[in-house]
Amino acid sequence: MIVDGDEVGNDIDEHFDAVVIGSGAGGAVVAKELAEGGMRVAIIEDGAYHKLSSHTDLPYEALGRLYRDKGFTTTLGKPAIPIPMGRALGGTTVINSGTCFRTPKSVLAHWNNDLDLKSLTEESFSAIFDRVEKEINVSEADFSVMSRANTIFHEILTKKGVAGHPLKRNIRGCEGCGFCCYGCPTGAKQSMDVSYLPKAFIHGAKAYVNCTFEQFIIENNRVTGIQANFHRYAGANNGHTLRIKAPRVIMAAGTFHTPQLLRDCGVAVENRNLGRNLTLHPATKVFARFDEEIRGWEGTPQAYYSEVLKDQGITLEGIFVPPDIAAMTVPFVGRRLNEFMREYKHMATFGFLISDSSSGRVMKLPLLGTTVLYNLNKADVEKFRKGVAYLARVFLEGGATKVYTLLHGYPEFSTLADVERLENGPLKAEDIDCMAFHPLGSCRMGSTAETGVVGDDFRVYGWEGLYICDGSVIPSPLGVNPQVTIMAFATRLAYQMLGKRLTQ
Amino acid sequence: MTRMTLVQRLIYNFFSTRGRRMLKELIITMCADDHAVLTHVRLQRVVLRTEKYISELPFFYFMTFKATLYLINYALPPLSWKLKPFMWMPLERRLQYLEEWQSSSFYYKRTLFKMVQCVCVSHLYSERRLLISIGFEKSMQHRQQRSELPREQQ
Repeated sequence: MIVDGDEVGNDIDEHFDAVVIGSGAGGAVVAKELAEGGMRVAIIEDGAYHKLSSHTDLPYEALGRLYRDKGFTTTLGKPAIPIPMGRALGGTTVINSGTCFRTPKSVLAHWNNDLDLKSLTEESFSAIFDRVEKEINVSEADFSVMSRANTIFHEILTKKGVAGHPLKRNIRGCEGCGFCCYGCPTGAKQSMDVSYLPKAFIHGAKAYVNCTFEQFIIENNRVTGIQANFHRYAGANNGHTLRIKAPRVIMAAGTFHTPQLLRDCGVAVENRNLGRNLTLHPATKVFARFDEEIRGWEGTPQAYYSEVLKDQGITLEGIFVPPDIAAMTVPFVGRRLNEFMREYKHMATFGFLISDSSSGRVMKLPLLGTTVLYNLNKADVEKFRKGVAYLARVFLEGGATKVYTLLHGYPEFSTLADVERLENGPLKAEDIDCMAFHPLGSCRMGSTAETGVVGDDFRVYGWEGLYICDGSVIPSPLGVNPQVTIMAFATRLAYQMLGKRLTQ
Repeated sequence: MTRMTLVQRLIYNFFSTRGRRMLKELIITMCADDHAVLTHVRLQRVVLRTEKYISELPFFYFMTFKATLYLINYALPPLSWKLKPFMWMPLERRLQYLEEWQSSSFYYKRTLFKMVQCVCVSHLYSERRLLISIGFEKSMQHRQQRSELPREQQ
């Protein structure tokens, strides 16, 4: 059942067994599992519920409706990194590309051995991954609906004898329309609003949308409920409040907002990890012009990957953006922009994300509100240099007539000598035009209160009844898309609360 | 949800419709006043839509955008220095001037320009006829066909 703040005409006072703040990969999963286990669950979502039929093909409409800050959320630092985040029932899963990776074994081993999180073993996650993947129908992308931008890269890699694989995605009957980032219009992408949440509703969960979390109800260091304000669809407060008493409060507001909401409420402020240790998986792409028509927008835009640079902390992933988004990312104006856009049907693109060793912090600044300070360190700048040079080399050797990059000072390459110029030339953090899609770690899990904000039971250190379950608890960067890891963490928390154990 | 103070609201109301001509000239220059592009675009609609988008941004971004618009137009120091405002420059000079912003070695100048460029260009290339003219017709048709289906089949 969905209660829309836009339509609420009175204050609401309720009692539940658990209340979840946020409805993304963390919140929706824990809500569904708890509801299925017999608990009465409430979900609080700041964004609105959007039906599939309301999704649009125009970026300015999608940005306005589905993205936080109209898609303008950006880090402060060098470089300034835009971070697209969803603001809708289903969270960022509504606008992501649907790529699914299990937590890499090397990362689990790092948590287990180096971070002393002894319960996070590979064996303990095995049955959980199976369950999550079944729920969201994780399957390998089909070559028949893959964008040509992905298949041409596959062909070039195969000729070079380099391994690459189709990505696994949470889809059911994808038609390859390429509009994943504007909200899947067909419902093929198994985002939370079409997979976990409907099941949660069947089991009696109640979602309050257009409803902004305000504060916790606290009794003797124990969180016993929350208070929230309903607002209109356009954003104005409608003057009515929601008050929920619940013995379990689960924060799943996302890596940006969870630490700041805790800080605003005076919770865990003494913990020096709160809002720190933030990693982003910064990512960039290159465009390659081929003589053949690529028409990369036809087919699944992100469907292929390669781990050839994995040992250097770089994961290559296919990406193709519709022309309206591409136009704003290319470093050209005037005639060169027009020429680039006329040629766009000949362009293939491929990107990569890095497992960043840089770390940032979430904080609140006057006028700006909740924001992130993040600077790329030298080691990460070198990863960008290697990643761009590798992709440029692959494309040029594979027959591209020109390669365009998003690095200041290196806008286009026509020959391998140009690539060598990048490999040996100067490159600073501010020269890199990148984006980030996976903020993680701002309330990281740690074996003690000195190393983390939550323990491996997801409970906030020093507080009873308060749990965190979103990207913010992931203890270190994953090097791959994190939605399945977040869902697995959420499933684990739910089973722990229900006192059940998931076995294969 | 960010709550606005009264002062912020007044600033919003004062600035939201100002600088429309600047915005229009900037968008025209972004596509080099190219007839092949502009013929597929209803320019006034693009300008109004861009203006509406900017006016709905969070306060900090809204003010930064507006300030950058004025900085570009009046070529104010320390970011640049020109006697003639942007709107009075001939096209070739404008293009050269925007490229100076875009390829500046001063990082913040480049970043501010990038922000303005992103907003203007994305709205320009949201025009359906322009997208179709560069070969994006199949995907547009796909969407259109879906929107013509009865709601329950969508």
